[in-house]
Amino acid sequence: MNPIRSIQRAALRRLLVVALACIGVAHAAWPVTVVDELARDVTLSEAPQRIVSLVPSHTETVCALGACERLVGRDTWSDYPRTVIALPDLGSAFAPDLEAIVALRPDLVLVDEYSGAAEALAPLGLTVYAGTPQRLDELFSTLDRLGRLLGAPTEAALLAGRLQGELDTVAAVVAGRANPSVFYEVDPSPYSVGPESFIGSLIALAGGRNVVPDGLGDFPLIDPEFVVAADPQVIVLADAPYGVDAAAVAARPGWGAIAAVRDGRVVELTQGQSDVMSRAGPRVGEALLLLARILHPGAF
Amino acid sequence: MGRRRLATPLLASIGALALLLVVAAGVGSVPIPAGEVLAAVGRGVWRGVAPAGIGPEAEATRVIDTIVWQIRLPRVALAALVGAALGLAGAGFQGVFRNPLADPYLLGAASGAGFAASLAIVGGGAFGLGMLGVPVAAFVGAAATVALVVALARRGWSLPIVPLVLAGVVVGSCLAAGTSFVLLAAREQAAGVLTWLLGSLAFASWARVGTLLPPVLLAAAVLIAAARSLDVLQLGERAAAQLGLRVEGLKLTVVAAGTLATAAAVSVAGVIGFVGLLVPHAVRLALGPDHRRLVPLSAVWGAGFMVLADLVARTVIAPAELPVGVVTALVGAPFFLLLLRRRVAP
Amino acid sequence: MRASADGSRAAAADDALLRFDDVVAGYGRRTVLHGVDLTLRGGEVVGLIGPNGAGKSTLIGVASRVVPLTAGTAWVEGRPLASYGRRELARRLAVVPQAAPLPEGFLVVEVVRMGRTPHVDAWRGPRQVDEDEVERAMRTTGVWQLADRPVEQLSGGEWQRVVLARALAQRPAVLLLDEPTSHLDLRYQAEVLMAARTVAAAGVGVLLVAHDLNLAARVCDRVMLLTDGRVVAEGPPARVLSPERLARAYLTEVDVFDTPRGPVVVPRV
Repeated sequence: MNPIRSIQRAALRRLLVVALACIGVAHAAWPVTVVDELARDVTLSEAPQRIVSLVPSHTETVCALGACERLVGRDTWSDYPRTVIALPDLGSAFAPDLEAIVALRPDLVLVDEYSGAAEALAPLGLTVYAGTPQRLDELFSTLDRLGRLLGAPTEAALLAGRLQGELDTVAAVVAGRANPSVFYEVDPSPYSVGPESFIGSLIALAGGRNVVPDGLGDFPLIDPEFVVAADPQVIVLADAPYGVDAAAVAARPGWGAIAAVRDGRVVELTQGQSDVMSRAGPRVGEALLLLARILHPGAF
Repeated sequence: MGRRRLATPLLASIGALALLLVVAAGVGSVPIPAGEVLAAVGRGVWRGVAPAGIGPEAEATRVIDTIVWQIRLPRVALAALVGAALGLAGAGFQGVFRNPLADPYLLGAASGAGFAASLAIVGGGAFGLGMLGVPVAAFVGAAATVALVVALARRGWSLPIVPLVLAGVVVGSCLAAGTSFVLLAAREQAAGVLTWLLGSLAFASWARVGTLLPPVLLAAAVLIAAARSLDVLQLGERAAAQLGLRVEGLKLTVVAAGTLATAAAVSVAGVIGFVGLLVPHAVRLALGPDHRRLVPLSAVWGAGFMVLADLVARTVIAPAELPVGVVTALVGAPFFLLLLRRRVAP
Repeated sequence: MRASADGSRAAAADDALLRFDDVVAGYGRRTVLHGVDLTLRGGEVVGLIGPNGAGKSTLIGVASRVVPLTAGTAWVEGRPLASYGRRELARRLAVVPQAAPLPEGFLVVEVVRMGRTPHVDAWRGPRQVDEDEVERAMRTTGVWQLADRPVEQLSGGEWQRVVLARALAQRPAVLLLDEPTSHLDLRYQAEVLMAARTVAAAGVGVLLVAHDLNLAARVCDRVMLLTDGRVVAEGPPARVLSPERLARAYLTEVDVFDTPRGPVVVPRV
């Protein structure tokens, strides 16, 4: 299939979706209610002006929706876009600085669904949205909900369209190419990623074959022997910022014989790249492009 | 002659604890002048936590009220109660095992709670329940584990100590392995499980304080009532029986009360180590071994130690927090050594 | 001897403070006592002698209900032992154990006060009469001046006397002493045994497990020689302590010298 034709077709499809979305939400009026991932109703009577985000990907999304200046606080790990670093650091989601959060008088607090932060913050009279995308499809539903909460449904729909377009474009470019097998290493235990996980979906879209089979969960611990037997053509080291490098991988018993090691296709991610890969947010296209370039060096 | 007073050290300790509570409530990541804190406390006592009206000044007052009443006071109160519970349980366990190295987690309460809580955290994440089921799961896990250990170790109606400790170690190891497996299988929630395992008071609330209060009071009442018998038990189980004590009933009662307090504390604050071991020991070294003083003072000192440890945990690297269990160990271990050295010195 | 089983009502009616009728007891499957008869009356000191493993401490355990009976009957003040509650029994019968664990940190007076446990109401706490009994027991055993000493600072002999004081504070009708002089030098051996005699003179029945046959001979009205869980001889010391009998029981030759104050036994080495 002609890649350019395919991109054009995809873009057209996106445009249509966006147009429909705009019509659908153009008259959205306050108050707005969305249901978060803890099945709680989150209701805002007007557009939030003081937002606290305790999730790095939400911080990125808020900024991508043009609401960056409405953020008044962030968690320790939120570092993109760079401007948010100037915001007060409110600790991690597992031990947030509750007093500092209350003192900021936020009208919306964005947290994940499993740390317990929602259960702690909601009784303090704060409006809390709990939920983070764990899968690629959840990225778009989350984007839609955050867009409505922020009073920016149109921007959210446009962003969704743009992101889908980016994904389609990369997918179209790599379509028809040979699919290299990949081992994506999260840490040297080694933990990897399952095919259903966010990163696993990106690997598939980027035209790679994840050597980790389905059914082991999103972040399974893998037997090193299994990796040697699977003989991946590419190894991606998301743990490179923590000191793992290609030489260390080659030195592991038996790993010297792996195709990726022999062919010099052990790729070390930077901290920034690793963050992009692990955050299901507005930089998903960047993440996919990064992966596609690693898997198909000649295509871009 | 030889009559050790309870009232003097108890009142002195309660006074010191009260002072510590005031200081702890006055310190936090948001600087609030002491006068403002006291005013907020006064407002809350005067009219409950009611909205303060409208306007920027009222808004500022409302923020201070929320911080003082909804965040600091419940946290300080929860820390005190958790410390009291662990101190009580430690005193009871050390008394019944006649061993100063016994601690509330000896019979597997911690590993049972840890395993159940990790399942609840992972399951809660999977089913979108968040952390709601975790305290209940932890409480049931802790209590059920100790019940299992007791059932495994008992011989008819008697509860021999050595098999009891061995069963505790074995069952505890199995459950710890189970927790490790859950951690490996669910990496996304690993941070949540680990935070819980290290113990945290970060999410304190009046609701949790209210849940913890009845079991701790009940355990305190039972252990204080058993104090004189625990003294006699220090003569050995056989001698205690020959002095008219129903030794097996006593052991079972104390283990049950200690487990109730431990399970309740663990369910709201996770596994906080060292308190139950250290506090009764410190009381014993300072004031002697008789349980009529040891039991109530372990509760008060435990409360104070925990409030202090939590104060350190939330201030040293603010806005980030140290796990309070790390602080209890870091503060506790050198203090413990100091006490031991002081004792071996003439 | 076998008649006692059907004469149990009669046994209950006699003046024995402690009585065993054909008592069989042991630990699990191991039977230690094979049908022991025993009578202890008020005012007498009865010595229980015999080689290691003969069942002397087990007998003390049976009498204080920490070792269960498998057959036979034991009576305390004419009532079956089994009919007593633990506290009730502890008000009638006290034990000085052979090796009492040291309750570290407790003061001497606190340990002696524990002897009042079966008398003290759990809610009301100790009364003046309890303090009086504690003082009396401590004076009798000569530990009154040690009252405020932590027990871990005592010598072995002092500790032994504290344990005796604790048992006396129980104000028992029956006092069971399991080798109470084993750690004591001569003076304190004499003091403890004199204390036992004083207690007996006040009407208490004293059963004394004795390693030292010569002390037993001096202090006891009667001695029982226990071998392999059976009573092989009973009577006044001068009659029981014969060279032949002792040689059979202890499996070694002994010389017995008669003195004006009773027999003296020396192993032949």
